[in-house]
Amino acid sequence: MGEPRMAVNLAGLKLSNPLLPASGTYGYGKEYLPFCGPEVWGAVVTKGVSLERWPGNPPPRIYETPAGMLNAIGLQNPGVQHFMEEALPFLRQYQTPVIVNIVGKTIEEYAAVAEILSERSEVKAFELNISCPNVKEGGIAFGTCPESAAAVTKAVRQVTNLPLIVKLSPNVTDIVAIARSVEAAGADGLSLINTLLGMAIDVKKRQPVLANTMGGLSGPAIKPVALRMVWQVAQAVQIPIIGMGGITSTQAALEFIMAGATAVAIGTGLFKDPRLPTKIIAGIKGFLVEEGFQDINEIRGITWR
Amino acid sequence: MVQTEAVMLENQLLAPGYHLIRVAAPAIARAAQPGQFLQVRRSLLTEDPLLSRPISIYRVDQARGEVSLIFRIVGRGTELLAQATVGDTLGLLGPAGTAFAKGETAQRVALIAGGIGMPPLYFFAHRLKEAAPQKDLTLFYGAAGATDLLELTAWQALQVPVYTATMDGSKGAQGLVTDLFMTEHQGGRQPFDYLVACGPEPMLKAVADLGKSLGIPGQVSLEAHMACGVGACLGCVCQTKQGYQRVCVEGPVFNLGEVTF
Ligand SMILES: Cc1cc2nc3c(=O)[nH]c(=O)nc-3n(C[C@H](O)[C@H](O)[C@H](O)COP(=O)(O)OP(=O)(O)OC[C@H]3O[C@@H](n4cnc5c(N)ncnc54)[C@H](O)[C@@H]3O)c2cc1C
Ligand SMILES: Cc1cc2nc3c(=O)[nH]c(=O)nc-3n(C[C@H](O)[C@H](O)[C@H](O)COP(=O)(O)O)c2cc1C
Ligand code: FES
Repeated sequence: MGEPRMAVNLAGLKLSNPLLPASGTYGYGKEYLPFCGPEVWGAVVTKGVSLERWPGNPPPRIYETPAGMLNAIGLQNPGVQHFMEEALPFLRQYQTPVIVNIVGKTIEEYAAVAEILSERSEVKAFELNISCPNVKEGGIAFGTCPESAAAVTKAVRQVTNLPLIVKLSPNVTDIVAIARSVEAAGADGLSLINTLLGMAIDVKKRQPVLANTMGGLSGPAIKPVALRMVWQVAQAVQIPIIGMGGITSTQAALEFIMAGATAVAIGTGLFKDPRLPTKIIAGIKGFLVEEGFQDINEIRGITWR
Repeated sequence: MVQTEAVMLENQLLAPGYHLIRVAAPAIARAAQPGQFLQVRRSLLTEDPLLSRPISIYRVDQARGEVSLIFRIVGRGTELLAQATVGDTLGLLGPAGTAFAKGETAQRVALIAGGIGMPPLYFFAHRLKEAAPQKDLTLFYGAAGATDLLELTAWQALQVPVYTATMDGSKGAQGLVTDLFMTEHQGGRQPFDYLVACGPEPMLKAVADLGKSLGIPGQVSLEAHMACGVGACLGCVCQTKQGYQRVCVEGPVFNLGEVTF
């Protein structure tokens, strides 16, 4: 028996392996070059890109919590023009497909960024962030009700033929309803989950730790919640899912795939160990061989299929 | 920048709550520049604490491939580090961040340390002594009390004069180290023409204000909570004249006057 097959098909994109960096934790790919360059991943998911430059939130922006962290970065990014001039030429050097994460304050902004970037051959798909808890307008506001989530999806669908992945918020009462609504509006895939809204208080200063008061919780602490959501949504929709939330081991990655995810993303885990993707890819291969599988696609959703 | 698991060669209790650890890390020892830091973790297995802790490089021994750090126990991460024993491995990522500039034309360099801000200044002084022996270095070292003033004999061996200040007056002048610096700057034989500071933010702000009012250039090393330590997460930014800058990449060393305190 040879090497197990690791390639997956994600909304029409052929990925050499199912591991992706979670948006916002890998920059545009340059910073992690010494440890896990773009060549390691099945696809690169970029930091969120908006139409104009966003300055981000004032510091402190991050705070560690038990087995997790809060962040309120506020989607700091240099805007789509700068992204095309700086990030795309760098990413073009690699074979790895590029998925651009898009953010906006209005539906028109999401569509405008998608339209501009659809012209660029390096861009292979979009991930719409309608679920960021850290910006006052836009972001999560679109992701918390089925109608507005569908409206953003539809608007972007009209301006691009590239695969469209919509990233969902866990800060909702019924994530399945939102997933179905986004699927009906033309999404080709789903990412879940984004961070869980949380906070921490500095008792000596008697004020919230984060300058933004609230932030998004990520890391191992949220894994059971994320896994449950992937499990529920995977059984309710036909489109593929990128599962994420607290993956720091082969075991965790396998759990998401067995819950029904086609690909998995690593965010906070990279901060702990920047060689994690390489280790997990090797770990999954080892598991498949040991358990007698030839192809990773055999285990997707195996717990409920 | 490298990621490595380094064997701990020494874990010395310097004073109550302060440890010096020495590790075998040849690649880091080769590359390290004064002012740079390492992202340190007790183990790759632990998920709580999850993130690595930024700690400045205190000393390197390139011939032996060793690096030393000094830290103060303030919470769980440093507490766990303090419990590590010789032969244990630590997770290290680095060297990260910017280094202190030598201050090309400067002749009289004032090093201003507040508490646990001392270690990177020692590394800097050590290198400066080798690279520019004609420069005249002085350390102004402030801390809470006498037992918080560390490694004074190492500074003595380096032949750098040390002026100490403690808040409780248990050693040296009583009060702020920046006041001590001012007294010496104005009453000493010759004024300083370059300031290099590392310590708590209020002290750095005072140094920045002094630099501005006295018209002396220099650099400060900042602290910020960090996640990635490599510039990817944008979690560690500070406010500067150029907008938000990452303390882990554009810093921790910034030019005096650049940071908006
Ligand atoms: C560039 C740089 C160099 C540093 N060099 C040294 C050094 O040489 N010696 C030393 O003793 N300390 C140094 N520090 C401070 C050191 O990083 C913190 O004391 C340490 O992270 C505390 O971790 P903890 O788990 O013990 O404390 P906790 O308070 O339990 O930590 C909770 C969280 O807050 C973060 N945190 C808490 N205090 C600080 C702080 N002052 N700066 C940054 N993050 C903090 C921790 O990393 C962790 O994510 C440096 C910090 C920076 C940014
Ligand atoms: C520092 C940080 C920045 C993030 N920035 C973004 C972002 O720009 N866009 C986005 O869609 N998600 C962002 N996220 C969310 C992650 O992509 C991911 O959904 C979440 O962190 C859960 O995965 P994890 O536990 O593996 O980190 C960010 C997360 C972190 C920790
Ligand atoms: S710690 Fe991530 S950018 Fe500085």
